Amino acid sequence: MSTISAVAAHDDHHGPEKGLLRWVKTTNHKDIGTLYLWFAFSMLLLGGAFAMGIRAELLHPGLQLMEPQFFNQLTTMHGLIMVFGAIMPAFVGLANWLIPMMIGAPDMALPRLNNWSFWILPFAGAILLSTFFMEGGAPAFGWTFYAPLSTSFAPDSTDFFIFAIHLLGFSSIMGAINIIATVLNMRAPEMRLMDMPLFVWTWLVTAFLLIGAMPVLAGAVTMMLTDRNFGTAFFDATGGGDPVLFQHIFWFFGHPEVYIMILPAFGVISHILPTFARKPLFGYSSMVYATASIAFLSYIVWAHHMFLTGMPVAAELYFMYATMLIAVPTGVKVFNWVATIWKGSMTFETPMLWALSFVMLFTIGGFSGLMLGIVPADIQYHDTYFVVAHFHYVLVTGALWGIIAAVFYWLPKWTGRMYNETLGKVHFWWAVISVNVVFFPQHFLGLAGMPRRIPDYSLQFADFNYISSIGAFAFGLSFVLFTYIVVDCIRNGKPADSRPWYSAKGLEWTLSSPAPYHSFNTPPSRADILAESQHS
Amino acid sequence: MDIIVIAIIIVILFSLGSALVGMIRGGEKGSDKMFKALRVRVSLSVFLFILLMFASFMGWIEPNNVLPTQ
Amino acid sequence: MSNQNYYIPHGTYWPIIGSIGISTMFVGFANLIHDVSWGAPVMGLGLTILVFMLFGWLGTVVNESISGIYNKQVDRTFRWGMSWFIFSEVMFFAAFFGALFYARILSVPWLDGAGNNMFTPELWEGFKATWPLVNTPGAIGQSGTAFSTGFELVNPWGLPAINTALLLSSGVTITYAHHALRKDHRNALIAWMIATIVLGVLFLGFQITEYGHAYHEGLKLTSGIYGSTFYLLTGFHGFHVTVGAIMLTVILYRIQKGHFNSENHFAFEGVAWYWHFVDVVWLGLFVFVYWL
Repeated sequence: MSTISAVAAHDDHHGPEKGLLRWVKTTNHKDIGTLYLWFAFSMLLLGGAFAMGIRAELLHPGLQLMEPQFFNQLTTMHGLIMVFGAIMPAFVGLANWLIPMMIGAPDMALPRLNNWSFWILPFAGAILLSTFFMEGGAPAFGWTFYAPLSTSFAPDSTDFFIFAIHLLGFSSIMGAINIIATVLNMRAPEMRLMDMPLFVWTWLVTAFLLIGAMPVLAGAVTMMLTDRNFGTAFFDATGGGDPVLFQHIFWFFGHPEVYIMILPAFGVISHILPTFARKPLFGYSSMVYATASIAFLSYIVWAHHMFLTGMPVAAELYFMYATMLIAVPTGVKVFNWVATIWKGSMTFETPMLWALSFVMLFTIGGFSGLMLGIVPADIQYHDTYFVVAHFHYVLVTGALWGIIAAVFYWLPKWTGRMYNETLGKVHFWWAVISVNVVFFPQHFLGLAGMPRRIPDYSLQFADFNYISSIGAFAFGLSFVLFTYIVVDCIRNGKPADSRPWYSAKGLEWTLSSPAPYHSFNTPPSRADILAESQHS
Repeated sequence: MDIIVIAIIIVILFSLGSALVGMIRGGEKGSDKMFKALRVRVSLSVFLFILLMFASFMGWIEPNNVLPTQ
Repeated sequence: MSNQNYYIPHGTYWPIIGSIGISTMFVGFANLIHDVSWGAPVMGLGLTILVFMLFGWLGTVVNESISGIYNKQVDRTFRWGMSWFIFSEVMFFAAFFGALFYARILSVPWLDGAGNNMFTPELWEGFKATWPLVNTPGAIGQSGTAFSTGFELVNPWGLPAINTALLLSSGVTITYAHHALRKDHRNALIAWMIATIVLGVLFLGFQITEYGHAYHEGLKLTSGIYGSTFYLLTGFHGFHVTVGAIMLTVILYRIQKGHFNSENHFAFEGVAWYWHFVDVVWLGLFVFVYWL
């Protein structure tokens, strides 16, 4: 057949198409990565706006601005948008941009599917957001949509929410399949699995988690759909089902989901710390094994979210101990990060500041998670602001911090220009101080017994809520500066070198800045791979 | 009896899984592995079906009937 | 086999068409559920767009495959992709099997006061835990329950056994087809493929008949947890059999066009594996729903 001529004819089309349709039709991993990142950023701003509404209502005790029902819609949509619209797509965007460059591949393995994974998202997001304008308002049962709140007592718009979740799950599964095929099949022939950079490793494990967890979520919302509309009894005790069954299925998805949102951030941090400490990464292989153990454990601890549902004591004990076990591989990771910067010649450029604060603040979130995992203590903490503080420390100062660190670290590679370092540092200090003002007092509120997801509170909680809200407004405002820094970098930044960070290692730095449209047309050699390896 | 049935199902799942491994590997070797594993899984399934019929005929096993769960 | 030969397609419209189709379908469905008059036609339109996209997209892939621009590496990508797609299907079914086991082993006995005494027998007075759950808790001593109650069980030696025999035979015939393909016996291959498809379609026909019987005997979606798990498990399985039968038909068409040989037949392997998977899911259903 015409193999050779077809390949030759194909090889001369490098370079993007002209016009807006380029973004609709594109099969290029960098274009799609850019689309993902901008989509995630706009969702982050939207979800952030919802959070501002929530904190404005909680600024003072008593009902201030909105009906309780609308407050519940805001908390629900804030959670859903941030999890499914901001954090997850942002990481898929980073994966798209970085993985082919890091493994010496020309592109993702399934470029057309890659396009579809992205282009489902705006539609799913639109369906989800359209529920605000429907009769009865948007879903108001919290992002965990427990039955029977989401089945017997939910507005009609819930069915639109269910289909939006189906679409988002579909997109995630396709994205994950693509990443697995890329990592396992598109690596430079000379790159072994244990040569892969940690961002690639963490994403490979994350992709397995996605494929294992998202179909279960699809099952859960499907059962919700039939319970709501076709008279089934999965979550209804009068028909022999059980509302707690919903929680089991949801958290079987939900617990892997939280690792889906944090593992890629672990990978990012493992790139940034060695660069700015000017030392190889400490304990590379233990990092890989720790990632895999965390992923495995994440499937067998789900019921620690449900200690108050009346489980048998034996089950509570098992889930408590299994949860404690996760601290071991996570501790290995934190230890390795600290050992990496130990006695390094550190400099504190913006990405390094984000990475260092990640290590500290994520650890706080990890420890409060351990506190929550202790059954007798959880009886006190459950459904209080302590839980809110805990998961915002791991998701904001964990997952989001990882994303922002990655943006500053790789922005020169993406755009070919440097951001303004002074502004970057100003933004960092602004954000890191304000984020602690938002969330640290929430620990105290929760320990004192303030319940979550309630628009009003007793007077004794007023001071800490006031502080938290003020912090939230400051933190929200910091993203205006962030937007300016990124846009300013794209428009007016000084041209960046192909390796803008002294002593940064990784195949992506061997490409020019901005990176060429197709990453590696000839795979890097074994010598190149070893020279760019993060570990000695 | 229940345990035997469940054990056979597990072996069937295992051979189905190893067929998948063969399919991923591809090439002549993988293709062979896949075909052989699928042959095992088909034979076992037919065997299980016949076993169920026989066991029911001999009265070793009862179909799901409305019985108390304990 | 250098990287340069890895085929990276040009820009494509199929994904955006697919997105429009699938979201139109869901929006139509959601409106149909809420008795909006334009729900059904919009859902049909979305489905049509989706089917159009699938044929267009896969047709493009088939044409590219025939023209020989795919190398071994692309082939491996498809293998990885197909396997992990199937794994996601396994997890989807796992959720429903999980619900079945949970209801059977845990929640139904709990409602009768078993376990850690969360529920006392007084809560649902007169309720006896049974499996299959013929009389739901809500239907006992209470009026106005949402759940219909009382149904005759399907005798496993009737249609279910016939269906199992049919589907298992189709597993055997596709194995023979596979064998024939590996030996390049074209006529035998086509004959076995046709047999497989016919058996699959027969299965679907009997499954619909069984639904009719079960419904007639009072087993409905609204019959409580047994009806819920029974219909959702068999329903999703039947949907997969339908998809599998359509894919087998496409493969049969491609066999007649001469697309495959004993060396090069990944599409056949993928679909055959899918068919075996669907077959095993049924075996699990047959054993756990009707027997154990």
